[in-house]
Amino acid sequence: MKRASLLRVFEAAAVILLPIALVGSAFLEAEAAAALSLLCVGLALTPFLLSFENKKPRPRDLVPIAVMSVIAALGRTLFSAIPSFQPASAIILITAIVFGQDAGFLTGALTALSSNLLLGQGPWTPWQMYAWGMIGFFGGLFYRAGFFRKRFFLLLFGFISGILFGWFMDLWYVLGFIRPVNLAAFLAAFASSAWMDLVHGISTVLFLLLLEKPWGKKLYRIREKYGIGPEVKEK
Amino acid sequence: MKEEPIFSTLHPGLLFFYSLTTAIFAMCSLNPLYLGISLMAALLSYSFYFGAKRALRIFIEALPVAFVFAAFNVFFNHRGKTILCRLFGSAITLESFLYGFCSGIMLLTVLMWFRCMDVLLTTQKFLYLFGRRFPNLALLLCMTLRLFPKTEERIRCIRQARHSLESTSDRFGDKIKNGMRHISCLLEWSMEDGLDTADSMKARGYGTMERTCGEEYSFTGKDFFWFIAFLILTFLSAFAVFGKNSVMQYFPQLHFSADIWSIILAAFYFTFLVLPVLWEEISEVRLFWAQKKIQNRRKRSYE
Amino acid sequence: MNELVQLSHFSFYYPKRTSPAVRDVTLTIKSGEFFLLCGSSGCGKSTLLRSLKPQITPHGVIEGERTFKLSKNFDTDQTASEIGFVFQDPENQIVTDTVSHELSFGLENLGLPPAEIRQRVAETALFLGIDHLIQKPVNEISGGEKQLLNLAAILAMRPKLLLLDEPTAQLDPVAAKHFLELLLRVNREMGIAVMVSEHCMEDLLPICDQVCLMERGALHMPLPPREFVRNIMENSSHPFWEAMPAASRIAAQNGALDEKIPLTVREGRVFLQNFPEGEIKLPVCLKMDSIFSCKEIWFRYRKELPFVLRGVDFSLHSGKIHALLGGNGAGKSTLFQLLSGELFPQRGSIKWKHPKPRTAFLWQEPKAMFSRDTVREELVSQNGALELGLKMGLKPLFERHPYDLSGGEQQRLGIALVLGIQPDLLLLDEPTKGLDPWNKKLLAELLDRYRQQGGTVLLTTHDVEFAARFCDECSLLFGGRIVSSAPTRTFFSANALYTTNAARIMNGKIKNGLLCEDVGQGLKTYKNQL
Repeated sequence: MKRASLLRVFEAAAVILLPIALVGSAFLEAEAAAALSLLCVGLALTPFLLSFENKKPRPRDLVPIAVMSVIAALGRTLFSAIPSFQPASAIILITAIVFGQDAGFLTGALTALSSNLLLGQGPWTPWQMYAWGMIGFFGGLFYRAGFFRKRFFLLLFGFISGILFGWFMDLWYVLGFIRPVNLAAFLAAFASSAWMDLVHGISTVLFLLLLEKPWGKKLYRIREKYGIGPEVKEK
Repeated sequence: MKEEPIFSTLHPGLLFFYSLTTAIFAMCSLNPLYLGISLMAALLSYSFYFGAKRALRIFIEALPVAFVFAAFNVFFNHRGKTILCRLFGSAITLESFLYGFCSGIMLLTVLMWFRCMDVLLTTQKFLYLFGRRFPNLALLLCMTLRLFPKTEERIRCIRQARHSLESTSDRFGDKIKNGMRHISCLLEWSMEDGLDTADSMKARGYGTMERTCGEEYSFTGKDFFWFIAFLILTFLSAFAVFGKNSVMQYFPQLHFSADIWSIILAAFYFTFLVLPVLWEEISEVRLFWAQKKIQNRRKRSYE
Repeated sequence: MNELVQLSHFSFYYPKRTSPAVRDVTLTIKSGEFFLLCGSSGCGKSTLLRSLKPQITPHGVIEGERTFKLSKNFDTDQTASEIGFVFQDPENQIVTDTVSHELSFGLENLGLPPAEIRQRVAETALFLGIDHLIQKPVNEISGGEKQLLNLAAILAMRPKLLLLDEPTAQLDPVAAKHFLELLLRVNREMGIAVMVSEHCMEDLLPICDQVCLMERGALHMPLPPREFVRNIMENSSHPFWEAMPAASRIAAQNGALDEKIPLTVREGRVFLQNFPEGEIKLPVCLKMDSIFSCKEIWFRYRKELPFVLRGVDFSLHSGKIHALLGGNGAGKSTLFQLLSGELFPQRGSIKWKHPKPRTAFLWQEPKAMFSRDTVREELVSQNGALELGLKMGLKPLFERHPYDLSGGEQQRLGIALVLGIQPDLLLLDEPTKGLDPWNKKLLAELLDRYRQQGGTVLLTTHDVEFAARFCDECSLLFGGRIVSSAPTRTFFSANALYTTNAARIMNGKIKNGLLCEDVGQGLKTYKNQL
C-alpha cells in the first residue's frame, strides 16, 4: 500500500519535472542532448508503468487496454496517408473516460509502441508513448474531476491535446537536432509544425464527435456486463 | 532478410546492452569523423540484414530528409561566420547548413540501427528481459501483439459480412456511415472476444501466484567472454565519441581537428559497430576452410 | 481418495434472475471417469461446467455445496491448476502470440521454475504431436491445431479433471475427430477425468463411461451410454432423437430396443446382417434452368501462389437448396467471393440469369454484421427485416443485445437481416458451424420456407448429415474443381466413404440408402418385389 502511494508521488513528480529537466538540459547545451532527453522521457515513463505493475491487474482489466490500443494503432496506420490526421488520440481519450486514467495512460503508451511496430520504431517512440500516455492520463483525471460534464470542454481538451502533442514532439526535435536551443528555435519549430498540429487537433475533435457517444454507450455496456473499470460517477 | 544471425545467439541481456550502446553512440556522434563511421557501419549492417538493395533505397530516400533538416536549420538558426547569402534580410550560413545536414544524417543512422536491432533483439527476447521484472506489462504487450493479426482478420470479416447489407453508393457521407458501422462492430466484437480470453487466462491460474518467466537463456562462459569484449570496446568507443581527441565545432566557425589517437579510437568504434557482421563472416570463412580441408583429405585418401 | 469434484444440491442464479440457470444438481466426478454432458443450447450446460471450476464461475448466487477432493475450500490455487477448462472457440482462449509461449503461459502463472516449464512444455508437445509447431506464431496455425494447442496448454499444468465446453463445435469434421481421439488418449493413458459437453454425440457415445442429460437447468441421473440411448429412443418425439447414432436409430426403427442396442457403424452393420437386401430408386434428373453458371473458372490470389480454383464448371439450379461440400482450403470461400464480386477470375466467367438475380451473403461469422445496441434496432435498420424477424420468432429477443444471443439466435438474426433485401439467391458460408441439432433443424425449416417462396440457396458445409437430410442437390469441390454435382441421393450413392453414417451401415444392403428411414423404405420395395 505504501509503495503504491509512493509511486503516485513519483507519477506527479514525473509529470512536473520532465519538461523542466528537458528544457534545462537543452539550455545548458548539454553535449548529448538527444540521448539525455531520451533518458529523461524513459525515466518519466517508469513510475506509471510501475504503478500499473504493482496493482496486480486482473485479466479483465488488461483486455480493454489491449483492444483499444490495437484499434487506435490500426486507426493511426489507416490514416497515415494524411499526415497527423488520425483517430488515435480520440480513441485514447474515450478509453480514459470509460476505464479511468491509468487505463488511459497505458492505452496511449501502448498505442505509440505498437503502431510504431508497423510505421517504424525510432528514438521518437518513448516520446510518443509519453505524450499519448499523458493525453490518456489527464483525460481520465479531468473526467473524474467532472470537467467534461459539458461536452464542449471535452472537445476543447481534445483539440488542445492534439496541439500539445505536436509541441511535445517538436521539443524532441529541437532538443535533438537544433543548436543553439533558444526560444526562437522553439517558436520556429512550433510554427513549422503548426499546420500539422492543427490537423491533429481538428481530427481529434472530429473523431470525438463521431465516436464518443456510440462508443461510450457500447463500452459502458461492456463495463456493466463484465464488471470492469473504476467506480466512475455516471453521467 | 536474415532470420537468425549468429550474433543473436548471445544472451538477450548482452544483445540489449549492445543495441542500447550503439543507439546512444549513434545519437551522440555529430562529429563528422564518427558520424561517417556510424553511417558506414549502419549501411553495411543494414545491407547485411536486409540486402544491399534495400540499404541503398533507404539511404536515397532519407537524403532529402537530411536536406530538409539542413534547410530548417538554415532558416531559423543564423549563427555562424561564413555567410553564404542573405534571404529576407537574414543570413544563411554554411555552419548552420552543415549542422542541420549532419543532424539529418545522424537521424538516418539511428533509424537504420533501430531496424537492425529489431532483427537481433526480437520481441520475444525483449519480453524475456523485462518479463520477470514487469510480468503484467510484458503480458499486456504480448496480448497486443497477438491482437494485431486477429484484428486485421476481423476487419476483413466485417467488410465481407456487411457487404450485402450496405448501399454501395460512392457518396462520401454513406462511406463515412458504413465505416463507422464497421468500426463499431469491430470494437464490440474485439471486446467480447477479448473477455473470453480473460476468462481463459483466469482458468489457467493467472493472478493466483507470483508469475515466473518460462523462457530461459542461460548466461554461459562464452557470453561472459563477449561481455568483456563488449565492455572494452564500449569503453574505447565512448572515448572516441565523447573524448576530446577529435574536436568538431560548428559554431561560430567550423573547426575540425583530429590527432592520431582519434583515428585509432575510430577504428575500434567501427569494429564495435560491425561486430555482428564480422562474426558472421568469420564463421562463414571458417566453415568454408574446414570444408575445403575435409575435401582435400578425401581427395588425398582417394589417391 | 477417489472423488474429485462433488456437487450436492447445487443451484446457480444469474444476477437479477429468479429462476436458476442450474437447478439442484447433485453430481460426483471420480478420477479417471469420462463424462459426456448433453443438452440443447441454453439448458445450462456451460454454466454447470463453469461452476465446476471456481476461477471462472460466473457472477451470481450459489446455493448448495461444492467440494474438491472432499474439501469445502473450493477456490484455491490447487483447483486453478488441477481443474483444466477448454472453451468452445479455439481462437479466443489463446493469450499470447507464439505456440511455445502459449504452452508455458499457465505454468508461468503457477510460478514454476524455468527448467521445469521447459521440460513440461516439451513432453506435452510431444505427447499431443504438436512439437513441429512449437516455434510458430499462433496466427499461422489452423483452427484444429489451435484447439490442440489449448488442450496442450491445459495438459502441461497436469490437471486431474478436464472440463471441455463444446470443444469441437468450431472445427471441421476431420480436425474434430482428431481432437476427440487425443482426448480419449488423455483419458485412457493419463487417467485424467474428463467432462465434455458436445452436440455431436455420435463419436463420443461409444467411448464415454457416463452420459448426463441436462434439461432446463436440471441434471438427469448419469447413465452408461447404451442405457442412455435406449432411454431416449423409447420416446420417438424426444428432441435428442435425431442426435443419436445412426446405428441406434436404425435399430430402433426396426424394433430392436434391447440392452445391446448398436452404437457404432460396425455394430450397425452386424445388426443389419440378417436383413434382406433392398433398393431405393434414384430421382430422375430433369433439365432445369439455372440461376448462374460458371464456365472454366481459374483463380489465384497472387501470381506467385498456386491456383486455388482450377477450372470450375458449376451451375446452380433455381429453386433448390444446394450444398457445396469440400475439405478445408478447397476453395469454397474463394468461389463465394467470386460470386459476390469481391474477386474476379483470372480465366473463365460467371454467367448470371437475366435479369441478374439479387444476391445476399451470410458469412461464417454472423457477429461481424452487428453494430447496433439491440436486436430491434438491428432489424429496423434494414427494410423489411422487422417483419421477417417477427415471422422467425425473434420477438422475445428484441430488447437483447445482439452479442448476448446464442450462436443459433445470432444466425437467425443474420438471416433475417440479409433476407430483408429480398434476394433471389441466398449464399451461406458454413451456416451449420457450432449449431446444435435443434438449431440445425430450425435453420433447415427457415431455408425450406425461403425456397418455397421462390428463393434459391447455395451453402457450404462440412456437415454431411445436414447436406444429406436437408439439401436438394450437392456438389463436391476438390483440388480446385467440382468433382461431382448431382441431386443429393445420386450424389451420395456414388460415395462409400464420404457419406453419412447411415449410408455406411446400409452399404451393400440397401442400395442408394442414405438416411436412417431408408432401411424401412428399402424393405418395402423388397416386399413389393416379392
